[in-house]
Order: sequence, then C-alpha cells, then structure tokens
Amino acid sequence: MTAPSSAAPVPPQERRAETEFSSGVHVYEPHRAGLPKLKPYFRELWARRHFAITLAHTDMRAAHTATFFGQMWLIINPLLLALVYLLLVDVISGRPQGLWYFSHLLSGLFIFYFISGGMIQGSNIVVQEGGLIMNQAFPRLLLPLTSVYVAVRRFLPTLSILIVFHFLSGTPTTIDLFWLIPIFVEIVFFTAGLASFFAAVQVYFRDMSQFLPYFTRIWLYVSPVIFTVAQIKHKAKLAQLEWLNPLMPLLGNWTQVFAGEPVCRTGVAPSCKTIDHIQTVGVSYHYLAAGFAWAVVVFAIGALYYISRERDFAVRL
Amino acid sequence: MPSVFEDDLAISCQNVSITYRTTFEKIPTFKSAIVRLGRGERIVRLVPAVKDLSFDLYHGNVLGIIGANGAGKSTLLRALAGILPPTEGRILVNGKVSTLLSLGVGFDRRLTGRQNITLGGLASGLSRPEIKERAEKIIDFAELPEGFIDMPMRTYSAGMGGRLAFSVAVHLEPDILLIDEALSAGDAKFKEKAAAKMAELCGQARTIVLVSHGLGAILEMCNDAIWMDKGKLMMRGDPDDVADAYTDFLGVSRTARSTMEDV
Repeated sequence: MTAPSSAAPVPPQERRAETEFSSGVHVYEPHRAGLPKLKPYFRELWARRHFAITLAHTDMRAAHTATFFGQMWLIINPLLLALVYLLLVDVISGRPQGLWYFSHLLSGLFIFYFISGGMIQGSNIVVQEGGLIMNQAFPRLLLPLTSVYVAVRRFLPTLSILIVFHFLSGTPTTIDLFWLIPIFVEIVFFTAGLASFFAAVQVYFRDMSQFLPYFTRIWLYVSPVIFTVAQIKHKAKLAQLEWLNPLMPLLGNWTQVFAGEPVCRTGVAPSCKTIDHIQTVGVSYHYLAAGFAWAVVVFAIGALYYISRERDFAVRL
Repeated sequence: MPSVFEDDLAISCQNVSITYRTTFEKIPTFKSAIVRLGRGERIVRLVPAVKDLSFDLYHGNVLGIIGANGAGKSTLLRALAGILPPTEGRILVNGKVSTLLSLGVGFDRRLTGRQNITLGGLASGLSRPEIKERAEKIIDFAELPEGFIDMPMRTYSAGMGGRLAFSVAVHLEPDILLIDEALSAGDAKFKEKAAAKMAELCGQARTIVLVSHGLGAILEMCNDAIWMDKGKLMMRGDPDDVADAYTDFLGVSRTARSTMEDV
C-alpha cells in the first residue's frame, strides 16, 4: 500500500515489510543462503493456504485422481501390491497367512505409500512449477506442502479399505484407534520434511528422483510393513532398526494400533502355526515420543534447508 | 524533508549487482557431478547480469528499460519483484508489486482462464471474495472471444494469453507494476487500451516499469527511460533522448526506429 503522504510520514525503515511477499517497503539485500524471519514467513504462508489448496486440486485433476476410476486406482494399486507381498510371504514361509496378516500388511503399505508418494511428488514439484517460481514472489515452501496435501487427499479414500479389513480380521475395535490421529499427524509432518528436503535437492541434482524409488524400496523392507514390530524386536540383528529407522516408531505404532497383535499358542506371531485370537496393542508411548521427535527434527531440517535455498531456485531453473 | 521525500519513492536501486552461478550443463545431475569430480573439473560460470546499477524512481512514473538482448533487463525486473536476490547492493521497493513477466508463464496451461485468474490472485495474496469481485472486471477487460474464458489456456492464442495476463496484473491493484515484453502479443487496439489503463494507474500515483527491446512501446507510454547495456546503466533520462542515444549506439537510423518495432 502506498503510505499516506499527509501529516508526519513514518520513515520507511519502520514501515519495512517483513518479507518480500507482504506489502509495505521491501528491502532486498544479498542473501544467498540465509534464512528469512520465520514468523512473518509462516504467516504469509498461512495467508496463501488457499493458493496451495487450489494448486493441489489442479494437480489432482491433471492426474485424473478427481475422476471415479482415478480414485479407484489409488485403492486398487496398493491393494494389488499387498496381494503380491502376501503371496511372497506365503511362498517364503511355506504356508498361507491369515486375514490378520493381510490387514496388517495393508495398513502398513497404505501409510508407507502415503509417505513415499508425498516424498517423490514433493521432490518434483519445484522443477515442475518453475513457471510460477520465475514469475511470482510467494513463500516457496507452499510447493512441497501442496504435494503433501495431495498425498493426504489420495490417502484418505484408502482408509475405507483399511476399515473393512480391520473388521474382517477380527481385531477388536477399541477407543485406542483414536491414537491413529496423532500418529498420522506425526507422519504428515515427517513426510512434509522429507518432501521439502528432496524438493530443494532436486533443483541441484535433477536425477535425484530416479534414485528415490530404489531408496524407498529398501526402506519399505526395513520398516514394519512386511514384518511386524514384534518380529523385528525378536531378531537381534534387526534390533538396531528401532533407533535407525524413523518408520519403526511411526509405522510401528500405526500398524500395531490398527491391526493389533495375534496371540499364539507357541512361538511369536505371525510365524506361529495357529493364531489363538487377536489382541489389541495399546499405543506405545515410547514410540509416540520417538515419532514426535523424528517428525519435529525431520520437518525442521527439511523445511529450513528448503527455505534457506529457495531464493536460489529462480536462477537454477 | 527527507521523510516525505522517501514516501514518494517507489523504487531505489543502490549499487545493485546481480551475478548468476550457472553450470554449462543444461540439466544439472548427480551423475554429471560425480563425473566432473572424477575428472577434477569444476565448471561453474559466473554470469554478471547486472553491474553496479543505481537509480531512484518516484511514484506516478512510467519507467521504460531498453537495451539489447542480454542487457540484464529481465534480471533487473525479477530482482525488483523480489524473485531474485541481488548479489551486491540494496533494492528498496515501496508498495505492493504485481508482475507481468515473460508472457504467459505463471499461468497453468491445463486450467481454464477463469481458474487461472483465481490461482494468480491467490498466489499474490488476495482472498477468494476479493478475486471473485475482480474476476468480471478482469474478464471484461481482456475481451477474449466468446466462451474462451472457460476453456483450458492451452487453446488460447499467444495474443489472448497475453491480454488475460495483462488484465490480471493491472487488476490486482498494485502500487508498482512490472511488465516484461508483455504487450508485444496484443493487437493495435488492445495496445491502445492497455496504454490507457496504464496511464490511469499512473494517475493514481502508481508506478510502472516497462521492459522492452522494442522502442515503440517505450516512446508511447513512458515518461522516463533507462538504457542498459551488458548489465550497466548507460543512460537515464527523457525517453526520446535515451532512444536517440540507443539507436545511435546501435548504428540504426532514427527513421528506422519508428518503423521497426524490434530495434
């Protein structure tokens, strides 16, 4: 806004706009890798949330996820994948796994594909929306957050399948299921951190997105998706995963709360012969705290790295 | 009174230099970084796009920036918009900026004109009701052929896209409007209309910076001009004088100037 030129005008230093996106007096000075003031940055970001949402809907429309079969594919794809892994585990273990295992597998796979989908989409978005970056000044962090929003919108319909199998598997339905909400929030922030980090890296190394699928494949195998938390804990060699893999607390808590744990007559589930019944496993507070820590740290590192680099994007695209 | 003086100031560039770091490779990849590392090479080229540029501009003016390709005009405009940070010096911009940079980009070609108006408005920080209120004015001003506003923008001609982009930029009610070559696509009638709209904005004490390598638009619309060459400020002053000096420099006759748009 132009300042009123009446009475006693305020010197521009005091009317100084806090970020390059707000009105007032803007001062642009050299800053290659510095951080802007975060409070006004995030305030401007929040003020433009509708822009991110509109951009996300555009993206989904372009990917045909707004159509019926587009939505169906989002459910069918991980469902088929879960079937593949079920058969794989059947073959390797030499005997058929029950419905419970399928329910566990689905809950883990769906949320894992939410994380990797958000991450891979986010890694491409800065390069993809180069036109916007070259022509508009806005908080660039909106772009990876848009990808995460798209991932959430794609994930939500798949919950219906999870609920169906939850009931089919005979896992008791208790109030504990509400813990899934804070766990999901942790996972969303964790994913946003990853998406931001890889979005910035992708600007400098355009082939990054070609490596990511292999990386996520390995990550899937060391996460409590095919294995259960109990199995991983049981194997001494895998015990370190609890500390090394952020998905151990995040996904572990999710699958345990969602699918519960089978009680066996002998041995450790699910490699025991006969499952007696499925018992609920309350939320692990230890995992909840560890997941929170991972979410905060990964989001902070990813977002701050991205923000520190975002002014460089316009010359790199 | 220095404080009143500062209030009228729209843009102040103080010893601004902008240097890009680019690599020779068109697409930077991890693979090529490793290959380079293996060979012990380090191919980073510094491109000094703007060199030690200083000028002040007051509200209510239309400033034209002329210069040959690669003079740093567009880079300077991006810096004024806050998209590129300067490498050295300081830029002061007083007011809300609206940009109309290289034609059509910033618009998503998959979306309809109407959806693009919404997206553009949201990105610049307007609320949905504010955009709704302005959408009709924007559409009226752009004068697209019947029905095109609800068609994807990939079906638009270059001129139609340019008209819509111009219409959006001027209706965002900016204090400072930055325009890069945007008017080259419109036909004579729309150019006249655009010029009238820009004059109206200036009458409201707004400021326009117009970049063009064609002299026609600069001479018609600007009351102030800057000539840039290879990143340096060569001359500042009355558009006619600046255009004369520029055409002399290029070795093009003065008469040719009026007939050739792309001098």
